[in-house]
Amino acid sequence: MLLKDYYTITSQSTDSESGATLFRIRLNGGHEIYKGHFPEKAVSPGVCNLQIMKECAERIVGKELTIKTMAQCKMPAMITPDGTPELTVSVKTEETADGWQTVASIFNESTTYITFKGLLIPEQQ
Amino acid sequence: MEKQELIAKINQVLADEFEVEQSVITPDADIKSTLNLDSLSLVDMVALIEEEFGVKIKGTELASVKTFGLLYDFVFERMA
Amino acid sequence: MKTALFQGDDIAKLIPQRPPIVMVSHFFGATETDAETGLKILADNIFCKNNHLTEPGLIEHIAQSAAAFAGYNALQSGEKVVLGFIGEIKKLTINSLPAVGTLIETRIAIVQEVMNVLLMSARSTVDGQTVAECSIKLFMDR
Repeated sequence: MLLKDYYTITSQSTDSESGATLFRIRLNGGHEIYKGHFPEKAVSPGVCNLQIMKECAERIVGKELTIKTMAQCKMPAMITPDGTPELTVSVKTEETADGWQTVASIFNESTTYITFKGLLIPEQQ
Repeated sequence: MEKQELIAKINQVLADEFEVEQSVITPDADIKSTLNLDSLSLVDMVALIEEEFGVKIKGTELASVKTFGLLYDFVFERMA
Repeated sequence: MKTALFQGDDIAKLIPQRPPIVMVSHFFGATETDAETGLKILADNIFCKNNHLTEPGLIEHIAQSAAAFAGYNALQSGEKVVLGFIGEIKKLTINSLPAVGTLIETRIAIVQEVMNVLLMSARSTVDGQTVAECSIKLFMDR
């Protein structure tokens, strides 16, 4: 995990209909990042939500990954550690010659907060 | 460009970009609901019209442009 | 290095983010449509791993560069700097992850603004080589 203790995965399952892997997660509202984002209002940084989706994809493929290209990443609603601490991360990867074409999202019962469509490649270095 | 030609081009460009049938785009139809635009994709529509037709549009001018008919007039006036 | 209009603690005048998530270290200047920013990557940057800035750090730098441009424009016209949130990122390509110690330079251009959504394009370079580019939308909370 890039940001230590930023969230925990509480369960993992497979969506039989779509074949996507579903991770239940819980955000840690005490993480130091919220001191700066923002001092008067804790909002989960969009890029940290993106990182959660990538780390879930790493669990699926069993390798450390890097985002190479992103066709689209939409963030129509805000995630806050106080308002929406329990979320579901859905990730579906497809292995291609270039890497893993990945479709992912984070949502709860009422709202989709972020969607991702992009290419992940094995971590360089 | 003749106005009829412009209208046909606008309809085609918008139908392709926002994946709707051209037949649902009519002069009286509401732009946002017809193309399923949220505030994020509304910006894409404006940028697309600017790029395709070489017109400069200020976001604030768009508040009153609610239907396709008004959009045709808006673009046509700026191209003339 | 070019002289910056804002750097160090003065960056806080342009963006609402505070440590440990300040991902712009320099604001070099702006025209009506374009701005140039920079990030000197320090070893204690929270988005660094294996001595390199990772993708969320690079993307956050681009987003904060866009926010700094909006903040600069707000300051120039005597308005308040408001919170901005990433609404969408499109057509992102990452060529390489910059190493600790390097300076990322980023050019931001305003493409369109409708209501409270700003559409901008961004290109980040290190020593003249493009490391990342994308188009980005920010929701401005005003």
